Amino acid sequence: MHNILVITLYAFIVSFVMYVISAVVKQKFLQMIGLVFFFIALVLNSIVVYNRWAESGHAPFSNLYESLVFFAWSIAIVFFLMEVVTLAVRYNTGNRLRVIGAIQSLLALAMICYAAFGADDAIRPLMPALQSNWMSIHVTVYFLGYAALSVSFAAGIVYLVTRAITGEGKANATATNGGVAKAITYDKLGYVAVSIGFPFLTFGIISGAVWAKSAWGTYWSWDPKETWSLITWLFYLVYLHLPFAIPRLNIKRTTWPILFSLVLVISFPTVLFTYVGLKYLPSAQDSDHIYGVE
Amino acid sequence: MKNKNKVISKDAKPKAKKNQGFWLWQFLSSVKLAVVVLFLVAVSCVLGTFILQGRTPQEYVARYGDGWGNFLQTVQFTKVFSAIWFYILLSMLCLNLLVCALKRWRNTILQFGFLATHLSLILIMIGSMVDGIYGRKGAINLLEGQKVQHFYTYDGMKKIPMEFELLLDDFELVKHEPKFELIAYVKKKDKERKISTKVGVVQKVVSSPYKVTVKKYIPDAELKREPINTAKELKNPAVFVQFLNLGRMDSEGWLLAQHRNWYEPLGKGLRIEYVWTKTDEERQKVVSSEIKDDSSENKKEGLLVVNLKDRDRSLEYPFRIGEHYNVGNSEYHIQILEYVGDFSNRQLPIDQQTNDNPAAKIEIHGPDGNEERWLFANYPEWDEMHETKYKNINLLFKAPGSVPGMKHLIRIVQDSNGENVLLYYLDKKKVEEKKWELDKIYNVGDSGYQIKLTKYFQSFGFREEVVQRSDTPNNPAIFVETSGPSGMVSEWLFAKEKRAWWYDDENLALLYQEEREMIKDFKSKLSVLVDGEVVKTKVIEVNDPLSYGGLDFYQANYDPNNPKFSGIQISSHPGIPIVYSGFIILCIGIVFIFYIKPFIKKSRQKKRKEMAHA
Repeated sequence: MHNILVITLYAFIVSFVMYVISAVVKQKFLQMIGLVFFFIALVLNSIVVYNRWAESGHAPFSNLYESLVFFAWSIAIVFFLMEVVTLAVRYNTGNRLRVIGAIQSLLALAMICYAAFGADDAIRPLMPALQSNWMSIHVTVYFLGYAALSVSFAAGIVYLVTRAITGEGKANATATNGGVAKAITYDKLGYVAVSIGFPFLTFGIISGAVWAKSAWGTYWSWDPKETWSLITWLFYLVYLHLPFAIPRLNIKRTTWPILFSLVLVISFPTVLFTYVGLKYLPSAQDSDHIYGVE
Repeated sequence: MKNKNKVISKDAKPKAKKNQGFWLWQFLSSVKLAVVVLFLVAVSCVLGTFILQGRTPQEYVARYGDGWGNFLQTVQFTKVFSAIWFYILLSMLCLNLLVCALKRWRNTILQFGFLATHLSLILIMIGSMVDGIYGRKGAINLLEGQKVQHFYTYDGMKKIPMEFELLLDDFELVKHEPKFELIAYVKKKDKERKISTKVGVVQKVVSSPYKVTVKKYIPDAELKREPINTAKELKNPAVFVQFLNLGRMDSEGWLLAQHRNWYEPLGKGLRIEYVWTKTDEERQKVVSSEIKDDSSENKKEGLLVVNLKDRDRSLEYPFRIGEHYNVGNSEYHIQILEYVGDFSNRQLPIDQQTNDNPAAKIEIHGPDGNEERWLFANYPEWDEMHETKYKNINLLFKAPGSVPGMKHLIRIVQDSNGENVLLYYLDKKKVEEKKWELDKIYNVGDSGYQIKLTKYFQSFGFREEVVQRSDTPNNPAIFVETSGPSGMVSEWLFAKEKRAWWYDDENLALLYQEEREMIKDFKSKLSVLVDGEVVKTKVIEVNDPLSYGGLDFYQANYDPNNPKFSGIQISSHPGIPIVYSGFIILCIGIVFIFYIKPFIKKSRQKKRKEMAHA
């Protein structure tokens, strides 16, 4: 299985390189090759996830190794679908996804890389609290949400970088490639990604609460993991409300996207922190959630 | 986004009347307020996880210092989630949600999502408030057969009576089948890794040059070693010696010229040596030589070296079995319990063991009780590498050679040409010299002792055979093939041996051991009794509680040391229906806003466009 994981890694690397080159030389052809390799990586990654599931006998996200592989898979499936839909619906503006594709491949390959060479891939039996059907629902929903939000993060970064380089107004022009009428800009892509991912975040919290009720008797106990999932949710909630609040403030219209993108760039690290960072909290010792990750 | 902005500005216009109530209304319904409150709630949550919650005042002072400790407690940062200001924030959010929802109430389908999400959040908060006020959370600890009619709450340890009795009929702790794991340790990187024990699959030890393959697996293995002659050439000459006392067999064993070449029957004042020489000359030398009084090799006594880490001191003691030593002026006291010549064959009588892996069992008496340790003369780093109770003490042990001053000395001399000589010394003086043959009995002077040589191998070796005793995993063993910079090596590893095997380059260690015990499940059979009658019975386990009379009983704990103990958590959440309705409405609302509304909007726009075209 380790070999397939390594091949997956190579596929993501090729896809990353193709996306980067296609973004630089602006070649649709290369973008397509990138997408093909991304798809190959997705298929291989699916095989790894499926095999792990079959081998361990439980949904494969009970430890860091499994969740990393699954996170990479979520990123792959979500971005692949986004790209396919975008190319099908708006063939002309699909090129904005080149840079995003590069970033998503990079994220996925980083996770696969760490899973393959840095994480303990031993299969261990599930502890009693995790032996529930809620686990597969809860975790799958969350990772799909995280994957969509990672796209918003990438979009936020790209927007800020292009804006910093090309200056006001041009950031969107470069993205639209010749002024197609219905251009989607990076800040708007970020918003689309959040509106795909945010509902999953919400379902994730709710399924977690219902599960906690059935396992521990309380749907909410301000456990650090719960609290941080709420913090993450609140950040994106703030982001979603900003477009309504901002017109009331004395801020130039052209700086709005900067603000939105900034919030996106700040919010995603809270997602990652909720996922792997909680063990560094002083309150981690009180948590029922923090285990498995070493 | 643009469209939404327009909606807001449209709203704002007709209500632009200036009065006080309107100002408050405007304030409470504003998105700005919502954003600010949401942000503040998020910040409070961050605080609530970075500052330890609900500890004693002393702990805070100890952790954050006097000033900070007191400050954090005064502003209730030490119990954020039950702080007054946090509830004010949440109430503010609730009010904001409500006013906002009322203000923007439109009976259009597009508004559905907005209303559903905002009102559902209010429902969830109201429901949690109901739980906070009327809900109960507590615990019961029961032993099998025990009954209770009350429980204690977590907050304040209030005793709450129940309208029925709860009986623990039975408790069951289900363990996973014992599992065994193979751990690879790479010394240079100081990294440990678990390796799959799948038979026949080559496993790379990640980021190292080693490959490990488990070739065979035996669930219940036993190592059988049988001495054999492995070759016709002279490689490792050995003789099998029988020692007789007054015609009766006393002991017997192998003497290996190149390894353990001597044997001293206990308390007989006799030493038997097997000397093998390459040439005639050498043999002559041995035969004609006198026994020197202080031949250092023969005098070598074992040594026990005690290092006290905190004092940076090293103390040496003679290695004598049964001896006690007070270690310097420390609180430790050491006793030498046992000596074996070959640890892996320690079940054999000492005289039948080779001197391959001398080991000593030591007992340390200290302030925290006794600790037993095995020390290995050939593996001085062993003691340092293993978990010990008294970490301050590091022990080294040098194996004894022989005890000098034997009355009788028998030398069995042999050279590569097959010349055999038997020498007998009495009080270090040579008394007898003769040729020896197999299966003949020789008297040891007038002592009444006799020796007999029964076997001779030019090339002594062992045939090691690992045999299967049964199918139950009592002592699983794996046959592991390891390849790396020093070539390929195969070795049996036994789970019960608890000893790491080192690869030739001393950088890779493999350890096959039983995994940490994991609990698979724990279940309590609970009965609810009203007036002594059983009205409900259920086996509860984690994720599957029992509900009765408005209370839910959850399997929460077990006691690894008491198989009859069950820890049960109790909760009542009267607000659950409200909260869960909120959850459902929130989900529907969210789906509508993000996944349905955009499409309705789009199709409407399309229609409008078509109308305009028409």
